[in-house]
Amino acid sequence: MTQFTHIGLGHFLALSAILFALGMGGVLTRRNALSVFMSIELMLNSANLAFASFARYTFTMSGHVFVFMAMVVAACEVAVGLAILLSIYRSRATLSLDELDLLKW
Amino acid sequence: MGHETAIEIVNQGQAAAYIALIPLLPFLGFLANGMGWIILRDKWPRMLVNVIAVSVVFISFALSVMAFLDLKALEEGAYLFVEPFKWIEAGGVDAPIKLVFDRLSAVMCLVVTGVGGLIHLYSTGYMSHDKSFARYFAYLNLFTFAMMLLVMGGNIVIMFVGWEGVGLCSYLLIGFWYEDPEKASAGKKAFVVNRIGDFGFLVGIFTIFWLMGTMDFAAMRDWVIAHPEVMSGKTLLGVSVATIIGIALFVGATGKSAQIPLYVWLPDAMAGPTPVSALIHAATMVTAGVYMIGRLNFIYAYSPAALMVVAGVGVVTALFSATIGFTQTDIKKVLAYSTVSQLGYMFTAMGVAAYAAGIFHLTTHAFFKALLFLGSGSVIHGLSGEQDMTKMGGLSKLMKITCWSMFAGYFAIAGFPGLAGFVSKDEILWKAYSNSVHPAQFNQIVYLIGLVAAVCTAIYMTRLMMLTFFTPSRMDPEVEHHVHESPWTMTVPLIALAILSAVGGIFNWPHALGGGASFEHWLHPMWMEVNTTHEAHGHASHAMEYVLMGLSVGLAVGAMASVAFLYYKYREKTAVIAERLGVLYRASLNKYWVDEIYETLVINPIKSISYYFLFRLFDANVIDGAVNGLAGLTKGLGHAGGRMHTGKVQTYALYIAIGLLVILTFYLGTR
Amino acid sequence: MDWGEYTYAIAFYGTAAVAVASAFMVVWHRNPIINALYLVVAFFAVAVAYVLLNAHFLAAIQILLYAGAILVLFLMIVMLINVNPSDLAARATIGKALGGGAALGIMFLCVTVFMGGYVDKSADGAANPYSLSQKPGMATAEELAAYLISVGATVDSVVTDPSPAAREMFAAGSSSAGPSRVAVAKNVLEGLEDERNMDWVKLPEEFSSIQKLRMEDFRKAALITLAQAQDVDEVKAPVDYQGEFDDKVMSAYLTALVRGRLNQIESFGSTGAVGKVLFTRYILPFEAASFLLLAAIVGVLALARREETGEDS
Repeated sequence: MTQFTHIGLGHFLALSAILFALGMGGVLTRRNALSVFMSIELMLNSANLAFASFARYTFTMSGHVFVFMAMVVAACEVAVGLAILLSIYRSRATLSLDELDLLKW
Repeated sequence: MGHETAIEIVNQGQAAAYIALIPLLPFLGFLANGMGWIILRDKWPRMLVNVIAVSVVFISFALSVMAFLDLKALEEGAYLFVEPFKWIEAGGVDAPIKLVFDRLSAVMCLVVTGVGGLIHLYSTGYMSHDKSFARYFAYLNLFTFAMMLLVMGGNIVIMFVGWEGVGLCSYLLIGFWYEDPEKASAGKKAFVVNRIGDFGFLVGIFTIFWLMGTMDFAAMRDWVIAHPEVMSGKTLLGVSVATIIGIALFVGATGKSAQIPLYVWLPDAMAGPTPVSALIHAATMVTAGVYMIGRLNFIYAYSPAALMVVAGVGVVTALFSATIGFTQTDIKKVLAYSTVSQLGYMFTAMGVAAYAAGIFHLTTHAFFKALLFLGSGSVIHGLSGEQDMTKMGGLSKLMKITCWSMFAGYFAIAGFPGLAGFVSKDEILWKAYSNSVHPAQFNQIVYLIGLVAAVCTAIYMTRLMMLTFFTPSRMDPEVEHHVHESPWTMTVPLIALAILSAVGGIFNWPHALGGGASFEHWLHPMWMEVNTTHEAHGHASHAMEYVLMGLSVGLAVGAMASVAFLYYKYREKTAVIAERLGVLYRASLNKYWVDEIYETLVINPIKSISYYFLFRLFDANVIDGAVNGLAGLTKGLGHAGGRMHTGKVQTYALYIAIGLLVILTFYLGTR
Repeated sequence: MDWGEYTYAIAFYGTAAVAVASAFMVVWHRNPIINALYLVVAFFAVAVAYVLLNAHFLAAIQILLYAGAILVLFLMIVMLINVNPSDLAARATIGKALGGGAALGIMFLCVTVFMGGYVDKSADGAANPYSLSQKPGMATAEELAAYLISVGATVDSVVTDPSPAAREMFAAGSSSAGPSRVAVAKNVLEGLEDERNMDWVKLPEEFSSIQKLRMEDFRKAALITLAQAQDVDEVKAPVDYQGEFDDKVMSAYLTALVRGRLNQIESFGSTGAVGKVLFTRYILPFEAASFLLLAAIVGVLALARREETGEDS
């Protein structure tokens, strides 16, 4: 039973992995660009969680700084990404990823 | 052991950085004029081209003189060198950029930069009407650079670089007027024939490296001294290594120095501008083979057989090409065959181990043959490009300086007593007769052929002078109207070379005539005694020397006088004589059909093989098949891959995810 | 914050359940507004997980930044854009099946590895090296105290300020017989294996001759000596140390190390601790991040500007 009652590094990493996989599933299956974007945020959060777990495990503060930086980047990414989505919507009147197949060219 | 002697040799060398400037300055001149030509074309001022091109060579000459004086102050066997940087260093191969200025290089440097400088000066007049003026001088400077590398290279790789470099310049300058397809193909011919010779040269280099593990001349010499038993004892296919190396290198020399069987390119090389013929195809480049044998004489010292080949080929070439010279009507062609013939003399000298005599003949030949070529160039210039001697005549009054300076060259080459050519040629004939390297019968045959060739030389040169200058004029009235003496830039080199041709003999005035043979003594430390078993000839006395000297002088002067008389009084009889000679005359006129024979035996089979086998069969099917097959495969894969390329970002993300899954599975599965 | 083992477990599982459930809804529900709202919940759950990991500062900015700023942005865009109803319709494709499969596969592999490798299977929970429910320094503090006292240190000289809890533990440890002194010293020094932790150490005056830059070498030397020594009495003076290295000096040295370590553990995750590293060791990335934000602002303005106004100007 101690495997379940002693919460260790592995438990947090597993939680992080589950969140990451869920986010990845969203990225791969959702057709709405906004929802895909939210899934990406979820994946970022799971990575942050892994950082924080390792920081706690080694009792070093560097992990927290990494999380902090990741959050800054995420904020920028959201702002710019949403602006791009808005531009796409203005020009194509849709955010369905099935119709945005310009990467072929 | 070899290592220790190497150190000793290095200690004999004196570092002297300034000698690097001797080749470097012409190279800078090449860069300046070449870049000027490429960027500015005609706007690059001619005056500047002249000043740069001529001054760099003369400064090199001054530096050579300086180095010569420095060298003279050192003891025998010492030399100046500079090794600016490492170049090729791979495994056992070590070929640094190393320039050496020893007694042999000194002679070559002085000749190349001295005569070369005069010819550069001459060119400024001769080429003054040409539109590719700067290009011409860029090539000429590049040639000087390459030639200096050749003669100053401290190892055989540098020498080979120079060797190929002069070949390139020769090609560029023969085909200088490349708009004319005949001239362009003459350049190509020179290049291809030289490549055949270079193949032999490379085989020689590789054999040397395989055998001795070094390419440095000094180290090679040490090795040879340390391992005499290997040089003469070790055999490949029943032939001693010294002979194999010697003959392979000589094959290279036959290409570069136009000996049988590879001489055919040199007469065609007259397609280039005449100063080029004078510099490259008479005075300097074609003597590279002679220099090379002199430089590597320590290898030939162990192979009398290879020396015998050299002497035999040389003397046969001397006679063979002299007889072709009888009948040619193009003034430059006559001089070209004369050059081949004189080179044959030099190889004869090398072949009988009279290296100093060969190098001295190289030097005097540079003087008088350059003079003759420049003189003929002056004639051609004055006659608006006319080269056919049957359309000349009577120029002695119209072009006085040219005529009389050429006379010095004519007397020199014909062996008139006292002039440079007499001294050097007679030395060769004497050494050919009296040497102890070869059996006496061989020596006698060589001497006899050489003597006949000397007489032939006197005959065809007299014919040339008579037809050009003294017989009544046969010029077109149009051309005759424009005949003029050349400008000072052309006549000054003529006069300078005429003086050298006349008095050049004093540098090596033989003992027999009360001289000091100082040239021979100067070069003596460079040579190694030939390892031979033949007894020295008992009758090699001064008396014998006088007899032989008198014989050759008498025959030459007699031939000159009789031919001059014939042309002066009974010129119309020459046609009758030609007719009487019949097939002999036609053989000589058609150069013994050698070109045609090569065409049938070598060139056509190669063309057929190239076309039917290499092109139609191999290239069209195998190579094209492989290339087209690959292209088809790529196209098919591309079509298949294109189906995966949907343009949707999620599809690509899916590929990433699947890849991640595969890698993770693999990683965990193999733990 | 100190947790009882079961309390900690319950808190973790509760948080994890909420996080996974809301994340699942983010992915599953077709309406973007609902997605966004569930995303808030997921962010909050992650913030709680940060608290469980002693990362209080991170928890705070998680809520401020993600739940506060980013989510509002999302909602604003959802409002701005008319979602096409046909986009909301479910459409099963091979790509989706493959994507879902790949995600599940990765989840399965990762969870197997983490739970297999990082969960202690031994019955002795106290020695679980991966346990996060207790602070590692505390587990051995009493042993350490025993050693220090045996070499002459008093409670007051060893533990002056860190925390009353640590003080108590040292005091309690002084009465026990104590384990191997070597093991104790090793434990402390290994806790300082990461050189960055040396920032927290203030060495006593005896070692003032040693430059700060050499302290890492100093620490390594001590660690190596300890690893080779059977007993702490065999510990030799560090190379750089010139004075006499008796028990008292060594005690002072080790005490300084332990005190630094305890200080660090005590303040782990606090705003002050984050600030200390952020404004010293990571000052350059921090400044670079400010440039990134500036660039993002400019970029967003350029992107969001309407085409018509662009043509007018």
